Order: sequence, then structure tokens, then C-alpha cells
Amino acid sequence: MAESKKQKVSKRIDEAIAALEKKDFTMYFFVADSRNVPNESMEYMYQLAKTVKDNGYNVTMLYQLDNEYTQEELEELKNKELPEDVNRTFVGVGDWLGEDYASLPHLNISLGTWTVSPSDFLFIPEAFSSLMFQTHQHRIPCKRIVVLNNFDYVTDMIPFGVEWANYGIHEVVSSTERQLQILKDSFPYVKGTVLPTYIPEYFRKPVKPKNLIVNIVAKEQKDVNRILKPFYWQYPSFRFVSFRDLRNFQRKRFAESLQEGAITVWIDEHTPFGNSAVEAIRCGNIVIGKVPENIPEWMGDENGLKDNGVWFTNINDVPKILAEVISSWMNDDIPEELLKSMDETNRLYTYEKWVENVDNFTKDIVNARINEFKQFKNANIQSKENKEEN
Amino acid sequence: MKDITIIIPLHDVSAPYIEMSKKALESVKKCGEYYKSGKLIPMFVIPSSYDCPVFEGYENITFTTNDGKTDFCSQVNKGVSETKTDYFSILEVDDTYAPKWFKMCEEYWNTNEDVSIFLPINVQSNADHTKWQYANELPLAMSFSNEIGVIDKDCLENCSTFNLTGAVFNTSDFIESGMLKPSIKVAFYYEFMLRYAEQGLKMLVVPKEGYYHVIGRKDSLSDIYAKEIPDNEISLWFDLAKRECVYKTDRWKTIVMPKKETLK
Repeated sequence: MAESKKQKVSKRIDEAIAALEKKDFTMYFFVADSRNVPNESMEYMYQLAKTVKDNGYNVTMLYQLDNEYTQEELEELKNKELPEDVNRTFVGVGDWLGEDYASLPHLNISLGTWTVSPSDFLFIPEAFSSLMFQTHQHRIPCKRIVVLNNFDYVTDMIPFGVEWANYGIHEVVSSTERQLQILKDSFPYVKGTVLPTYIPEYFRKPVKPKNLIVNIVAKEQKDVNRILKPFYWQYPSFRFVSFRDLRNFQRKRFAESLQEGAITVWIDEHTPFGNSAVEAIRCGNIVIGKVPENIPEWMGDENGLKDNGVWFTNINDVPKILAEVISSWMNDDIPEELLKSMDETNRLYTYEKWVENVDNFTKDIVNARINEFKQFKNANIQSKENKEEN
Repeated sequence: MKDITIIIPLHDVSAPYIEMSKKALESVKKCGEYYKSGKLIPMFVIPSSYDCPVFEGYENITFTTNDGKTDFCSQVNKGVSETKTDYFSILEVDDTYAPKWFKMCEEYWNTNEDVSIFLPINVQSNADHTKWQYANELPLAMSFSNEIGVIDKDCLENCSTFNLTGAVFNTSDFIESGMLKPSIKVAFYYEFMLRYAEQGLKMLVVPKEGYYHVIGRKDSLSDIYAKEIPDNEISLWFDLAKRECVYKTDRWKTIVMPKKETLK
């Protein structure tokens, strides 16, 4: 006798539950091609994916690139010694995040070969409202969770008059409590989990003592100029102090530079978290930082800013602050409170805690999905029984 | 580094010099409050024609008398030859150490076993402290040195004004390299450093303010040189230093200025 529609549904639910219980499903992470330019949001996505994989789950990174070269086309270009069209290749993160991340399985969804089942999960970066829309429109059966690093990206990309509820998005994982709160002010129906990022182990205090090098981490070249030139003009006796602009440095080289230097000037007004500043503190740098729009948890709370750095709001003050910090550093007169507060910050965002949090989070979403299916199945059976009784 | 001998050459024991000595000693004492890995042992080197002065309230002071030449370099060499510690430093009587110098230096010493001399950033001021400048700081600039902080031959080609007072020296390297050459006026530190670089010994500037050096005090060495050596002769001493650095011992070469013909 042919299976009824409800029996089929029930069977599929059982299969999905079994797949979830046996970890026989895939967690997909959609990424943009960073083209080897370091990017906090993409780093978070890759860290999350890698940790999920290390915890024993199947992971695939998804990207979208129309007309990507096939392997054969690339070989042909190589044989004919013709240049590649950079817009037809996925560059990824190998150069700045390293091979461990670049070697995660990647799949181009433009190829049309991506298949997804109800037991799978899809993590979508907050900026990709178009993907939220498409996956909703095509009713893809997997669980969709948005990864939120920066609320600015939500407002940048979403069309007017639309909100996440229109895309069926009700779950988010956020890297900070503050960003989640900002999101919930607009989308209060969203269920959120906070997974604070971690700072990789290679950001640590060096064995060798430091050189008097001032690192600058700023998004804009004009900010670098605004610091560097007036500093030399105003303090010619410090002309021997070397500066290093760390923009677009590969991650490990970035860490090495922080370890070598003594002081870091950090300007990133729109950052949701400020990884670079925490990384600099980890490497034993005195951070002279511009107070960002949204103050991250590690930097301050409702009681004010912490002493783990030297904070400013006006860039014109930086040369004077810098001269004072350099002078203090050259005399080992950095205030004890600052050093103590830096040590406290260094105890946050450890890899161990991150792994534990990610493990709990993945177990929670898998269990929640199983329960969702079970409830659906029960409801299905209940409605069948009701029909039979009638 | 453990124990460090602080050599203080003293060519005069009159009251002003005793007062300056006390200030210098006070700075050594202050350094001892921060430096806990060993003792700082002040050693005065004085001409044998003087009685050893008494400094009450200071411990571990030793005196060495010099009955040979009593110029600055000879006084230092005499002190080093009497030094019993593996490391020593030179303190001019009118100068002072920064309180944390030896503590700050130790961190660099612990991780740079191949370095023979650790130089501080020297804060130089005039006698009334109204003007100041840094010295020894140039190798800290990435654009100046081949390796940050290291003074090598290339650095010495481009800068000849390094000052070794306040530096921490490896005693045996200093003796084996031939010590300071008293015959080289003005450029004796430069000649010594060229010789060190020639012999492959490593000199590192620690990026910390370690020493406060007074320039141009009346009757100081720099004041005497300023009076005795005309400007056009100074560069000749530096040229001589470049020629003599390949010799370990002092050959007592001197500068002979050409006689000027005058029209009558």
C-alpha cells in the first residue's frame, strides 16, 4: 500500500532526527571572499566554523562566485601562460588566516550543486540580507542562523521597509552582548546567543624584551598621517622612535609586530569589538586608543572606561599622549593600575573558553532542532489521530 | 648580571668633587633599591697623591689608587683591571644613573647573551639643566640600524657621538679588547667602539633612559677638550680613531697640525 503523505513526513522527520543524533549533517557557513584582506567578521565566521569542525561536526564554507574558473580552465591558462581574471577566482583567507582555515571545505553555490537537508544548518553573516531573502523564498529546509558581529552591516544592506521577520530569521549568534542588545532593540523577536570571540594563542607576550616601536592600527591612511607627522613636528627629540603601520598585515605577521613593539595606537571608531586592541594588549603593548562609537565590554561598562589602555576622543591629543607614554615606557614608569588592568583583560577571551562555549552552543542548537522535529511529529500524529477519531 | 662594579674616576678630591661624588653615590644607592639580582659596588679610582675621601652612610665602596697616568681613560682602565665582577659600569662624578637603569637593563641582558656592552639612552643636559638632548638613541630607529638597537660598523660610519658612560660592560671582553686608549683625545670612546665592532663584539642600546650626563661643566673633560683642542683638530682625532681601531694596543699616535704661514 502506498505511504500516505503524513507517513512520508513522519519518516523524513525520523531520518532528520537520526541524522542529528549521529552528527550526520552539515553546518554551512556562508562567507564573502575576503581576498586576503583581514576582516574581523570573516575571521569570526572562520573561527566558528573551524571550532565546530574540530568538535566533530561536518562543516562546509559556502561562497557565491558566478563564472568561477574550473580546474581545467585554470590549467589551460597556466599552460598558455595567460593571466587569470581575478574576478573569477575565490582567493579566500589562506594568506592572512592560514592554511588551517583555508583548507576547510569550500563550495561555490553558484555551481548549483549545493543540496541541503532539514538536519543541516546554515550560518549567514548579518550583512547578507539577500541570502536571507533567497533562502526564505526558496524555502530551503535547513535551520538558518544569522551571525552578528556588527549591527551597522544590518542597516547598511537591508532594504527599506523590510526586517528579518520577513525573511523568517528568528535566531542569531552574536560576538558581543552589546551588538545583540542593539539588534534586539529593532528585532525583539529574535532569539540570540552570545559567543564572545577568542584571541588566538599566538597573540602573547614575547620572550625577548620589546623594542621602542609604535604600531599603528587604523583603517584610514589619513589617521596614520594625523598621528605620525604632528608627533615628529611637536617632539623632534623623539625622531628615533619608529612607527609601523599594520594595516592588512597577515595575522601571524601582525602578531609578531605587536610582540616586537611596545606601544600601539588604535583607531577603529565603528568596531563592534576591537580585536586588534585586545590582541595588542595580549602582546604586552600599551594601547593608546580612540574611544569607539560602541564601547566593547572589555574596554568599559556603565561605570566608565577601564584602565587597560590610554583612551582619547580627539586625534589631535595623540602626539602629546604618545610622547608621555613613550617617556613613561622608557623609564619603566607605566602606572601599576594600567598594567594590572591589562593583565585582567588578558584573562578574557581564551581559546579554552571559546571551545567550551561553541561546543555548548552547537549541542544546544542540535538538541533544539531535534525537539522541534519531535514536536512537529507529535503534532502530526495528534492531528492524524484526531482525524481518525472523527 | 649579578654584582656590578661602578667605576667612578676621580681626579680631584676638593669639596665640590666630594659633593658631586655624594650625588653620584646616591644615584647608585637608589638603583640598588630596584636592582635585586646582585650588589652594585662603587669603586673610586683616585690619584695616589690624594687621601681616600670618606663617604659616610654608603656601603660596599672600594677605592683604588692610581700612581701612573691619571687621565680619564687611564683611570677607567685602572679601575677595570682591579674589578672582580663579571660586569662593570662607568659613572662620571658629575653624572647620575636613572633609578631603574640596572633593573631595566637586566631584562635585555637576560635575553641577549651575545651582547658585550649594553648602552643606556643617555639624557645629556647642560650644567644648569636648562637644555637637554638624547644620546645613543639613533640605533633604535629602524631606518638607521641593520638590527634595531645594535651598534655595528655601519652605525659607526654614520654616527661617532656615542657615549659609553652608564653602559654595562662585560669585564673580560673589555680587557681582552685592549681597553681604552688614553692617547686618543676626544674620540677615545669612538675608537674603542670601532675596535669592538672590528673584533666582532656586540653592542646594544637598551631602549630605556638610563643615565643623566652633564655636558660642559666647568673643568669637566668636555670643557677641557673644548678649551684645548681647536675645532679643526677634532675631526683629525676621529680620523685617527678610524686608523687606530685595528690595533689592540695604544700606539700613542698623535695629531700634528700643519703650521700656518703668516704674511708679515
